[in-house]
Amino acid sequence: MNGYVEGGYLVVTGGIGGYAAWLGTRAKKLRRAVVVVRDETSVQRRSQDKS
Amino acid sequence: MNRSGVLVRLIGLLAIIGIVGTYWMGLVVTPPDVFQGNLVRLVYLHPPVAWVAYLAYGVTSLASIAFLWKRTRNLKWDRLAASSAEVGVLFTGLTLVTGSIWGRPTWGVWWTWDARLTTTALLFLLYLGYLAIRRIPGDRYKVGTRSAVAGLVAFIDVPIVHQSVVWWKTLHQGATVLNPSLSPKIHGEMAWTLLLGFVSFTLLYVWFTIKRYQVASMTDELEDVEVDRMIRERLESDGGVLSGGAPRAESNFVDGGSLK
Repeated sequence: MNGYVEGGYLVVTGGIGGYAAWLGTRAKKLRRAVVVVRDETSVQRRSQDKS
Repeated sequence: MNRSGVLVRLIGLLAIIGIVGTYWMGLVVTPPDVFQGNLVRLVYLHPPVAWVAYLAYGVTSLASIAFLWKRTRNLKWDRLAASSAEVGVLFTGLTLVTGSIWGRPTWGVWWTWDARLTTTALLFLLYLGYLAIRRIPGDRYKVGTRSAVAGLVAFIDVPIVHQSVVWWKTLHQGATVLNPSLSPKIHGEMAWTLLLGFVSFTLLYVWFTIKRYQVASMTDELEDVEVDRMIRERLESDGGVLSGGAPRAESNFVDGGSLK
C-alpha cells in the first residue's frame, strides 16, 4: 500500500498480541502458584486440626 | 470449565474474529478515499482504539467511585479500576502511535503540539502516573483510596481530549461519527468497517480487563498467603504458642476473589 498503513496495522497487532501473551503467561504462572499454595495451606490446616 | 469461563472465552473468540474481520474489510474490501487515498485504512483502527481508551478510563472512574463510596467499598472495585486503567494505557499508547503514523504522510510530521495530540499525550502520562501510584507500598485500602482519587482526577482530561477539536481549531480533524451535529461523515462499507472495528475492540477491551482482573485477584491471594506465612514464622521464632492455626492477616478477599 504505502508502508504507513501496514506499519499502523502491525503496531496495533503487535501491541494487543504482546499484551495478550504477557497476560496469558502471567495468568498461567499465577494459577500454578495459587494451586500449590492452596494445597500447602490445606495440608497445614489438616495437620493443625489433628494436633 | 464453569459458565463464566465459557463466556470469557467466547468474548475473546468474538473479539479476535471481529478484529480479523476489521483488518480484512479495512485492507481488502473497502476502497481508497478520494482525499486520503490508502491512508484512510488507518481510520478503521485509530478511532476504535481511542474509543476503547475513553471507555477504559470511564470504567476506572466508575469503579473508583464505587470503591470510595462507603456502602460499596470493596477491593474488587479497586482491582477493576486498576485492570481497566492498565488496558486503557495500552490503548492510549496505540492511539498515539497510530495517530502519529497517519500524521507523518498527511501533515508531514510524526508529532506536532496540536491540542488533540497534546491532551492525549497528557492523558497517557496521567494514567501512567496512576499506575505508578498503585505501586507505592502501603495498606491495601489506603493504596486503593489514593489510586481512586488519582483515577478520578485523571479522568477530567477525557472530555477535554474529546472536545479539544471543537474548542481549539487545530490540525486534527473533527469527530467523524460523534460530532456535535450527530451526522456521521462516513458511509457505506467504510462506515460498516468502522463500526465493526468499534465493536471488536470493545469486546477485546472486555476480554483483556476480565483477564487482567483475574491476574490481580490471584496476585492478591498469593500476597495474602505470604503475609500469613510471615506472621506465622514470626510468631514461631518469638516462641509464641500456636493453637488452632496462626492468626490470619486481614484478608484482601472481602469479596472472596470472585470472577475467577
